Order: sequence, then C-alpha cells, then structure tokens
Amino acid sequence: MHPRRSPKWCLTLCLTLGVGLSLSAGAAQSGLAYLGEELKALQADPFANPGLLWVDRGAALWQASPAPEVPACASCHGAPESLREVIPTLPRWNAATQRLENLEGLIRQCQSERQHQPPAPFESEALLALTTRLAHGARGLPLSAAVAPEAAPALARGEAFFRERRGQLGLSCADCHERYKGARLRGDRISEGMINGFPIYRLTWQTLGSRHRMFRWCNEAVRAEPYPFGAGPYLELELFLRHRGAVIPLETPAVRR
Amino acid sequence: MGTLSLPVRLALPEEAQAGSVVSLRLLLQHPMETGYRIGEDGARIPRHILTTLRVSYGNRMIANLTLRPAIAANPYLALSFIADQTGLVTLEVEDDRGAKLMETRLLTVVP
Repeated sequence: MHPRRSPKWCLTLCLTLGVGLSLSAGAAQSGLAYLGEELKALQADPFANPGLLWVDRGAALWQASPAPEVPACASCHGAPESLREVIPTLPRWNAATQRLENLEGLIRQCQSERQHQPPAPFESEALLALTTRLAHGARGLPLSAAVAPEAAPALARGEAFFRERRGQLGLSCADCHERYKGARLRGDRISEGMINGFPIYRLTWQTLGSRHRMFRWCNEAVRAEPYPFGAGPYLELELFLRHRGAVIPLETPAVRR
Repeated sequence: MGTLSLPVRLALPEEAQAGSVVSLRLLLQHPMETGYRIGEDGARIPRHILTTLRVSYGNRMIANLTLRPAIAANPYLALSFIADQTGLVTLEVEDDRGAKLMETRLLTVVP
C-alpha cells in the first residue's frame, strides 16, 4: 500500500481508470472531511454557525406549551439532553406499530398524541428547530449500528435502495457516495453520504434541511421521482445509512455546500 | 427584548478595557429574498429583505447601514469600534415588511 498519495495523482487515476478514491483509506468519514477550510471553520464557530439560529428557536419551542393546559415538551422530557442517548439510534424499529420511526416521526407523534395538536408539517420551521435542538444535544455521540432483528428486512431494503440505479441518469447512491467519493463534481467534492450532521445548514438551500429533504434533493438530481417526506423507502434508507455510518459522531447542525 | 419575529444571535462583550477594540457580531435569521427569483408556480417571489441596520453607542450613532438584496439569507454581520466610555449599545434592525428588532446591551468600560 502507498501510505501517501497526492490527491492530484489519485484524481487522475480515478478519471482514467474509473477507480474510486477515498480521502483516507477505509474508515468512514463525516461530510465534514470533504469541506474546505472556510466551511469547516463556519461549522465549528459556536456563534456564527447559521444552524444555531434553529437551535435557539428549538430550545424556545421545547419550553413552550403549544396551547393552554397542554404540556410543553420539557414538561414530560425535561432537558432536550435527556434524549441524547436515543438520537443516535434513530431511525429504529417500533415493535408496537411494526414500523420504523425517525426523529421527525417521533416528534410529530408526540404532538398529535400527547399534545393533541396537529403535527408540525415536514420541513416546517418548528419541526426543523425541534429536530435540530434535539440532535444538537446529542452531538459527539457516535451513530449507533444497532438494528433490531425485526428490522433486518428493512435494513436490507435500505441497502438495496442505496445500490439501485435510479432516475434518468441511472445513478445509484453508491455510484457517487462510494465509488466516486472524494472525486470532483463541478466545484464540489463528493462526500460519503453520511447522515451524522442533519439537519444540515446547506448553502445551496440557504436554510436548514432534514435527511429526507436531502434524499429528495439527491433523487431529483439524478432525475428520479422523489418520495414524500417520511415515506417508507426513505426511512429504510435512513436506517441503512445510520448503520453504515456507525461510529461517526453526530455534529448537528452541520454546514454543507 | 426583541419586538417582532426577527430571530437574532448577538455577541458583544460585557466589559472592555478603555481604548480597546470591541467587536459586535450579529447573526440574523432572514430569507433575504431578492425579488428577482421565480417560484415553482412561475410567479415572481416578492422581495423580502432587511433594509436597515443601526447601531448606537452611548449617544453616538456608530453604524447606519442600508442593506440591499445582494446579501445571502441569514446574514452574518460584524463591526468593531473603540470602547471609550461605559454606555448602552443599541441595535436596531428593520426589514421591508415592518419586522423590527431592537436590542440593548450595556458595555462597561474599565480603565
């Protein structure tokens, strides 16, 4: 093995032979590793990271009762950090409903069943703020690899989705995020498609977005019909990506291009 | 003591040495919609931008900015000034739909 290879040499090899390259051999890496220095600094800045605006808002919503006589999130759960051990295990299998549930789904379920409110719409400011605040409380914890035995078929379907070619461009997730990770796509460097930073502040969107928004964006980018937010195939993909990215620490709110 | 829906993060030291340079940092949540973009329905997305940013220190205006569309969403603004007296630093921000923000912080200057 060559311990050091120049990126330029690797890129040339990649383009001529169609061989994938990685920034470092083997170990899975957060999208953070594929950012330029300026964006790394912006994400690390405890004041200027724009995602922190949603962390602030989420903290306020967490404390606020949505209606008279209705408990706030904090009334039952205490501090958002009380759920930090749960966040890296999502999405997870719910034995009662026999379905996968992710963070957005759990919050919406709580809103309708415990707070008797209409659940916050997907990608609404309120839902983004709450998910960001909760995931922010779990930053530093590694994504979990644990998958309930009942969820094994869902995990397998998630991986199949990841490897299946789709859209007019006929590209699978794995084509870009495994085979060509680290290669250039216009001015961008292709990341490994890790989900440890979500919701992310994406410069392209000029706002925050969830994992499912990113899946929808990627599907549209290969000219495939995207699934709705919270759809089964996306939950299965999310489960697979959580399992695949296990040991990478959470870093919400991440800043991405 | 924000008056209307302009979420903001504001950083200003509480204390500074006389004659030292103090920096005021500001991160505002705002769409900064230029008014030139076309939405998915084919219609023009109406302009929605911050228009004014004023900072006063003691009884002096130290910054008076007119903001224009060519600023990205959720703008980060920073300015620095020399701390020469203990006084209130007041920040006023307005957008073109009447949303306003007014924040006041005390800056204590020590010799």
